[in-house]
Amino acid sequence: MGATFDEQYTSLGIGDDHGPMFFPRILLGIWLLLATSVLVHGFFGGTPGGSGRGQIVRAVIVIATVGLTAYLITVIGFLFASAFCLFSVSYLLGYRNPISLMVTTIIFPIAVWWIFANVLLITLPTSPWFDLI
Amino acid sequence: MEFFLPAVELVAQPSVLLAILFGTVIGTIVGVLPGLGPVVAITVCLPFTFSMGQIPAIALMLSVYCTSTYGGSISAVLINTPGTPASAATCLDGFPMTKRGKADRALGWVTIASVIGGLFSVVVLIFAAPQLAAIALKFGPQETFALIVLAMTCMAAVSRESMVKGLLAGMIGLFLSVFGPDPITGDIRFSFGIFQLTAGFSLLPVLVGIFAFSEVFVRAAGLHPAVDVSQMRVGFSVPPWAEWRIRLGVLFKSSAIGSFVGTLPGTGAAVASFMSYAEAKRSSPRRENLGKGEPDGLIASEAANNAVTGGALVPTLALGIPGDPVTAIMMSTFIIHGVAVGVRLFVDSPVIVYTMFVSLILVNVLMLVIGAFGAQFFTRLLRVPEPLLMSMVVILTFVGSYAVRNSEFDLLVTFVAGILGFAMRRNGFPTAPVVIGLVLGPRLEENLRMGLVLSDGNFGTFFESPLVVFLFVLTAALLGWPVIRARISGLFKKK
Repeated sequence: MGATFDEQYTSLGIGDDHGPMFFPRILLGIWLLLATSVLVHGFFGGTPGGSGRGQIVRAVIVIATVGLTAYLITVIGFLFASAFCLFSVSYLLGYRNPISLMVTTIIFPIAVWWIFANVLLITLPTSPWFDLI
Repeated sequence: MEFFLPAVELVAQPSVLLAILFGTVIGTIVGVLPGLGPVVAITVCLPFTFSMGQIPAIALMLSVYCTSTYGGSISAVLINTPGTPASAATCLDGFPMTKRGKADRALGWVTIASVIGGLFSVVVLIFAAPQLAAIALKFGPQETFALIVLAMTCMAAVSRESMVKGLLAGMIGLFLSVFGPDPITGDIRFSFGIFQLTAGFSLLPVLVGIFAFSEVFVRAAGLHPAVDVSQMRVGFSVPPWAEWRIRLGVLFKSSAIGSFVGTLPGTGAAVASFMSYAEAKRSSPRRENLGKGEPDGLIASEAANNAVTGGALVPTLALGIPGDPVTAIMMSTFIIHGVAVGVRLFVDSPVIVYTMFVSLILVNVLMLVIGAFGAQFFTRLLRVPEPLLMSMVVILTFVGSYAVRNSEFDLLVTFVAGILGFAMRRNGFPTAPVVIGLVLGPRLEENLRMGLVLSDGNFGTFFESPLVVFLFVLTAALLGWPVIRARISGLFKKK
């Protein structure tokens, strides 16, 4: 909310009585009220039930892996990053059949890459080592 | 008829027919897989539309939308686990039929009921959408503003956990929509020195992140129950006409309930399905058998949830107001392909509108063929391990978000949106209002500011038109409903 009163926004919207910060301030005001209500309710109403500690740790590791994949796509290209993602996310979610996992890790990213590059003609990020993939 | 024949010609093109066939198969497959549902189905297919022409892309999206709702019924019947929440009521009678060794017949009932429900809703769409668009053409900024406020409130009001959380989720979506250029002056807001944010958030990366990624994270956290996968093989058996004839009343009543509920923002197929099931339980001559494998229950649930598809497209096409996340994602895909849904669509591009109608009819007919011949194949799909499926969803989601504008920044946006979606779902916040807020935010702001510009900043003009006042009263009633309901139940308890 404070940022909407920042100096950079005071000169904006000349000629318009209700400038660019008018609508965001309304939203943030309502947001503040609702968030306070949820906080108060949460404070007196207890915490939501959910999964155990082990599963939360697993979720955090999966989230980190997906985040790492997003980064790797920009560094080593789509094909290698997606192979890494498929293997690690499947493994983390509990898939333990090594042959099936290896076969899927190799075939699925190549199939997706081939369909997009050659059939749909959409260029996906490439690696620094090869021109095409 | 003027636009119908050109539309048929467009749909008859091989590329469009292929898109419909592809969409029907993929939609059914994703629908069959428990927990994925129409949003993930559309997300997975999204990148495939980018290199397509306008009409094939639209046809693909529509076919995925319709058939993913139907696909959910197959797993509901076979393994007592609805593929989508919309098919939860189907389990009540579908699985008992399977246990009695009548899975083939149950699939016959759900498939034909789904097809007829879907076709019924297309007829409703064909008649209702142009009328609604003609009325909405006369709307000024004040009317449009009031209508969007009502739609947003509806979304929040039906939130299962709490209305306040639903409203808060809507605010998050609306706020995300104000990043980037101001709709009136063009000034850049909230870019925080990041060049990519000067254009604001691209809609699709946020949407697919919130839905597809959060689904993967939720499963990793074990919040979604594991499914007992069946090893059975089943076929498809068409119920005889004599059995259908006595159930036509249930069929058409359920289709009408689904079509009506579909037009209401925020309700969706699950609500329609249970409402229709409750009505069948109240009025069916065979009501004492419901819950024990009675076809009336299957018809009520499936005709209603498939009828929602056409109903939900009425406000989406006619007003540009999506009723649920699925239509919101479809709407943004249409925009990418140069189709601006809303009141002008019916005036400026009637052939495209009729192409949608014809595609929907074809999709529903094709659904019958796919359901009849693909029953065994879809049953086998239930054996694909969930971890592999989830990791494939992650990869296709990344492709979809990247391919919108070939932006690596969008990969980051998708990932962060996924974390936001996960955090919201874990804490009981609905995610659908975020999406609707994000989609409707720019129009809400534009109409508010335009209304103020036209009235010299006088807020009073927002309460002059009777229609606007009516819409605001309706909004206030929705907001006050929990309090009113509590008072009423308190009074009854005292008595």
